[in-house]
Amino acid sequence: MGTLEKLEALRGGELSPVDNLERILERVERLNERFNIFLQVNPRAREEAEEVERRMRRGEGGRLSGLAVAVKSNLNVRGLKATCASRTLEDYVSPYDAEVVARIRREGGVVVGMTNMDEFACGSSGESSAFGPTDNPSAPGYIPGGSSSGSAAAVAAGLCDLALGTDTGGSIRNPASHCGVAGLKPTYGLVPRHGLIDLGMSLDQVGPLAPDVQGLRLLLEVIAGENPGEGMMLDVKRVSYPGIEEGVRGMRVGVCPQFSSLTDPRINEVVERKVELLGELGARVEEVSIPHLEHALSAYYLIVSVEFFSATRRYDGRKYGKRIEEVCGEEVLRRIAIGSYISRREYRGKYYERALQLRALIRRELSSALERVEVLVGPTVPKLPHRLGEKLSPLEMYAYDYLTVPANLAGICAGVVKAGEVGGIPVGIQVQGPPLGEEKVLRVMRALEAEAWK
Amino acid sequence: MKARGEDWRREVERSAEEILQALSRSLEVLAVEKESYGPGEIHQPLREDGKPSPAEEREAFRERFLSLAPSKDEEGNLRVEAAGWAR
Amino acid sequence: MEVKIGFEVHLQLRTERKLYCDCPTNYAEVPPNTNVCPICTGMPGAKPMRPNRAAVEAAVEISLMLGCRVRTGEPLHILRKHYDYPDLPSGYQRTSVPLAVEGVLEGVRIREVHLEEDPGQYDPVSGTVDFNRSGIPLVEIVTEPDLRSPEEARRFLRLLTRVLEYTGRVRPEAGGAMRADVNVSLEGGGRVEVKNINSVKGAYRALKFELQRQAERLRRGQGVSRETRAYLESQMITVPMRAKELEEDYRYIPDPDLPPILLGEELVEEVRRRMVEPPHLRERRLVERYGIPLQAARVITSERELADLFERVAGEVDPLLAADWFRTKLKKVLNYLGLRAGEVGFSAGQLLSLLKMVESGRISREQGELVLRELVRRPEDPERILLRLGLSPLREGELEELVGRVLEENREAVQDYLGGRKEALNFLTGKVVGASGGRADPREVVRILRERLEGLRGRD
Repeated sequence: MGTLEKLEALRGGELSPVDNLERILERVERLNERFNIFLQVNPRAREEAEEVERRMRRGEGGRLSGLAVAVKSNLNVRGLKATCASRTLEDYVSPYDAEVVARIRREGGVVVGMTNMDEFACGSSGESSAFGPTDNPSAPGYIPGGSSSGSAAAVAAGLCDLALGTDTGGSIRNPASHCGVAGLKPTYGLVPRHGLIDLGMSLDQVGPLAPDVQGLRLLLEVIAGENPGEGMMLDVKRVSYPGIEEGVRGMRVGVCPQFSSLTDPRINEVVERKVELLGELGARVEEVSIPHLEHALSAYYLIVSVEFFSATRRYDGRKYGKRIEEVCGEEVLRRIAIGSYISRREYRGKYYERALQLRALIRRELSSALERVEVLVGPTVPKLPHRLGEKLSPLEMYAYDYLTVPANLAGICAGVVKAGEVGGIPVGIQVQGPPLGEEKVLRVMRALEAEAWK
Repeated sequence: MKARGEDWRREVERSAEEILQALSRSLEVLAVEKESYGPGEIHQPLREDGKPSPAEEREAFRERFLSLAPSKDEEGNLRVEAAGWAR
Repeated sequence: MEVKIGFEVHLQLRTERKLYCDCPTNYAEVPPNTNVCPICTGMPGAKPMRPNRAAVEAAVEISLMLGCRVRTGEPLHILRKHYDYPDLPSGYQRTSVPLAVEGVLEGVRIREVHLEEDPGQYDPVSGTVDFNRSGIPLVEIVTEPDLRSPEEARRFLRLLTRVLEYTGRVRPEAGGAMRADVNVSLEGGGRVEVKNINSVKGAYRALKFELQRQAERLRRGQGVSRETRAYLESQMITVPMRAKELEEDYRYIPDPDLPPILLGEELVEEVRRRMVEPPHLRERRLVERYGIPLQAARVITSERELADLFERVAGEVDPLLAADWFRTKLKKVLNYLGLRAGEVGFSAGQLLSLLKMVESGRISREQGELVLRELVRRPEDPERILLRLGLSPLREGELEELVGRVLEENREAVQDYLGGRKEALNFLTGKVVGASGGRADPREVVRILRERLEGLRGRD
């Protein structure tokens, strides 16, 4: 059942929120141990579903009307543990709701539980959780991607209707691609970050994962829009994307040789077929260049390390949890070390400030490209996911992010939808749009999805 | 869980240095640009002063805040380490 | 030996909400950790709200008071200043870049003014932390090292706090709302910074101790190295702080969660329009405009409302008389009753009426003082107070009448005076006072008689 159909069933009364939740919890019971998707199931989920049912009888079901939502463990959900998959916060019970969670609850969403992730979102594979890796339900034995590994896997395994993830360098899009589900990183500043536990403050965004593009759209419409008082938000009250079924006729779609030159040819082949399809559907495909694309990765890792170092100074063990440096994993410690080093007064100019300049350059190049075309399409990840347990060096792990970090550096929106498979492993196509260009991005994604389902 | 001795820490730090060297090679390609601290220019009005947040909200938060604290006293202070220089 | 003393003074601003969240600011009045929320306790994921407008405007007003140039039109970033201390919930303090620069206060140059947030309260002895104070807006004022002695420094700090408290925008110094770091160097020695000073008195004592310490070391040839020391109030000495604190690299980065502040010309003009005239400038203006003594002007400008009241009446009555009454009698009554000028119940018109009665001689000074006391206690039209007290004033012009009558009836005495016998004046004065039933003020009578008599001299 697609998202919209399920929503109709809930609203129409054929399916009750409680029944919906029960079925999902049943699947969770069956599959969670095997795939290690949820770190915590919401003990009050049933009560919350009952409450939504009551509200629906009064006509106040909200836009989600009982849909079950999985929440990544770096988002505060009052009463549940936002562990960030780390021993640092393993007993941290959220004392408040993240703004996006409050909005979901207000609109009748039911929180299923807290999903697994890479520790403090520092990863692209789903293997660095302190509570064990997540397995890929669409390609068992392979990594699900990261850092929103559990959220993507939950959607893929049908352990929720919708999921919240976060994306700093690709952490929604990467697992969406590996797990064959839909995911979107919204424009920076569109979705409130209050309650999102920081990795890189100028890069992080909360975004939806769903089995289909309409599901992405629905969840995005609930969580996006200004949060009065919160800094760094765009001046957008609410969003609504009614036109995503309109197709791509006449749209100018860009492809970029720098994307494909970094990418495994098998992935390129899958993506190219979809680009051709867009042409057949009436889009105008043209080539654009992003000359410094491959350097975006360095800029990203230098900036995110500095910001993460700053973000983690509060984990001193005095107010909650433990002192982070005492209990965290290797990658987290490594980023803190890099961040601490390059933010030193004597090194600022050499590393941090240069990285910021490189960021400005990437932003300019992407912006130019998106003036010539309306969206950019291309691969999501440059290589296929590796097998769980295979050992990669840090730089090999970082390399997964080549194609996703530019959107975070520039603050633009980017979505991923399944494009095909290589040897049974899902491959996602990435669609990038200008700031607040979600409608166009979703439209392209929907057109591709619609064709694939024919 | 891996052993967390000094050796491990040093190893992580060393790997950090290596990675830093690799990453910073990209920085050499640049001509000098103006820095960009964020993804875009966001300017906003200031927030009006006025009636503070409601007491009930804060009472509820206080309870949860104190229940998270590793150590506290009866008055509701957090308990942490005493300072060395303040004998 | 040349002495160089400079300050970094922190004062709490008076706002209803904290700087980056909506928690209340009455931290001393509530139990520990009551005025708190996820933001000011540094909970994981909490994001700051946009800066409190009243705090920003207060900082601008203070900057203008100190003659600074406000940095309009430039993006003014808020930085994260990182260090590890129990009272800092996020592990960094949010502090702005200077909002204003290049001011001066009574000859001492002000280098910059900026806005920052207060950390929580940490008791290093008991090891407890209370975040009620965390996030309260502070203004930091940095001076150039233009002060040359502890006495000068004390005078300056007193003036600075007086000027700032006068604006109504800062919390009074008492109660720990002021904190100062002082830097001091002697010629030939390094610059020493002294922290942990919480009062003007403390600053003075710290400076005296420090100068003595440094002079001693230089005398012995030991040299004074650049260091940071802490002032211990209980012993009135300074001690070295731990080496770790000295090597602090704060790793400043612009806070990615807050957009830079942009101060427009209109905002500054609006603040300038609304702001009160600073006391040290008002004092000078009162002296120039009304011809009153500096001492009186100083007392009058000690409270803004007192000065306001003075200017309401000084235009309509002899300003010297008014100044004298404000400085001596009014201030005395207010102090006695423990009232601030802003709390009095009488109107300017009523006070003016009283002063006019005194000026014209209708009542004596002594009578006036009695009326004043009543006026403050139970505000009412002074004429009615007089009646109530059983002191009936002379009618308008009554004194003139009486003087005229007495002169008429005592021509001999008039001739005596004109002939050079001064005692005649006393005689005539006594006659007038008697004729008024004791209500006339002898000094006023003398004045009027003299005037009239001298006037008569011309005619003969």
